[in-house]
Amino acid sequence: MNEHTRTVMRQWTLAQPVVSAFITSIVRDFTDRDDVLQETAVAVLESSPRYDSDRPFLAWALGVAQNQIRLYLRRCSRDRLLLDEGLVELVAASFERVSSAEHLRQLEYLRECLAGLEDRERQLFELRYAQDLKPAAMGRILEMNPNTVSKALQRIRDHLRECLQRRAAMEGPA
Amino acid sequence: MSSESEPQLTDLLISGYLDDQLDAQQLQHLQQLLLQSPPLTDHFARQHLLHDRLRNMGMLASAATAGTLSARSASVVPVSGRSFVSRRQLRRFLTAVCVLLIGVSAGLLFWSGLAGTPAAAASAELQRLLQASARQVDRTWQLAVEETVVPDLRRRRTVPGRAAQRPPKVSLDGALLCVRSGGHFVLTRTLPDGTQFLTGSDGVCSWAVRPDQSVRVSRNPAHFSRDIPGHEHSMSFVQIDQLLAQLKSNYHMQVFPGATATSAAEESAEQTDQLMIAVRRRKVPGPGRVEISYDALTGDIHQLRFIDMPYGPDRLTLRMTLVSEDSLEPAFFSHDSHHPPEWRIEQE
Repeated sequence: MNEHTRTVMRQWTLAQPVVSAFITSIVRDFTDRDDVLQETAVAVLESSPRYDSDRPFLAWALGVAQNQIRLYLRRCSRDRLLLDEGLVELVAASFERVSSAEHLRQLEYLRECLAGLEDRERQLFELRYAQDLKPAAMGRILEMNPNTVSKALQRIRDHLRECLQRRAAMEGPA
Repeated sequence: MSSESEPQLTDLLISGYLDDQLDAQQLQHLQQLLLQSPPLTDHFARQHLLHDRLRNMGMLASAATAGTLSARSASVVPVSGRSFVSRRQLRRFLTAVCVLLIGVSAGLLFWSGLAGTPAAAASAELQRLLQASARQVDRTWQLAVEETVVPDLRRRRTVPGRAAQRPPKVSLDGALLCVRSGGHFVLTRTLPDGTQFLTGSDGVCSWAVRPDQSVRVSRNPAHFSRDIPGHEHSMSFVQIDQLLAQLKSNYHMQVFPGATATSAAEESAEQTDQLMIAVRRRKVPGPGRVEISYDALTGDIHQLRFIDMPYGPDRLTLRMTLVSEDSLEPAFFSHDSHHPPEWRIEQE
């Protein structure tokens, strides 16, 4: 492995969480995310000789991911509700804008914020994010209306976001 | 949603999008808003950064919980006590480390790649496990069913003919599975009344020793393997190297960083443990997720956990813990070793 490839791999490790979130934002399903992320990782490594190290790596990796997402959207069943292909580039640009070190640093406090969840909230978090269940399936387990589950999930994410901001503000700038 | 104010409405739409709750009209509305407003698209991206990270945290927490369960369930009498106790401690430690991993700053997770190592690295790691598991040793696994999901009766397909008359499968919870290369196995399951139901194969013929004191023997060495977990989707739990080869082609692999053992004694013997998570690709049969705990130095597997695994009409979360690699008697895989000579033998 030459130095250039090593650099690309290092950069990929750094960019991967943002690329993963970008893929999730379009493909939505976590299993599909894993498929597309894996294909993107392979494409990044295969095309690493073409990466110009003067360009920001994240933008380049998001570009590679866009190609993989487009391939995914074309082979995806028409009956699935997904964003239009035309939005992919727009959303990629947003990920590039919002992935500042400051914002990513906030996410470092996620574990502490998750620890602050109440039992019911933790149960909802586990069903949604550990078991990858949707509100309808969660509702059946918890004997709750799916709309109520959706609203509860939204509240949990809102609480977590507020908690992340609060903790980051308490710690001050990096 | 129409009664909501505009910021509330966009938040509702984005949240609905995250949880796959939007209908076509609402999705169209969200698309229009995203096209018109770059700040909203940025908000949408930030929400997804959190959503995606939560999924990774969820997966990691789930793996850590599995470790806790394995430590709690270490009631199996070890065949080779010392090494098993050591592994049990190691697994307990691994659990603590998994939890600790969640606590490690996202910066560290960022560097180590929370969403997993790149495909090539995971693939290389799996290759190492394949080599280690190809060692010609007898292995004894303790099975534990952590969870059984019984499908809604209305959704069950009615199967005509013989399959419909087949009695329900005996639970795998507490079962022992002894395996040797060449497709040899003995699966010992205990019924609620304490009697045992054994199935096995010596590589030439397969057999079932039933609680009613009858023995059935088939010349087909795989005939009585249908109760082995994984049989229904041709995943061989008897030959771990074959199972790993199937994971390699049908699953996405992620390796999570390992941990250093606590005591000096353990450090010299088994320094690190590692967790590999395999997530099933679309449209392939098998468990939804497989978690493999293994020794980072030797590649020896300590535990396998199968989540959302089809077993008859049910879906199980099944844990297989290695309890021994001691050699078994040459005749152990023959049915003669498991019943008195006077029991009735029926040829299939």
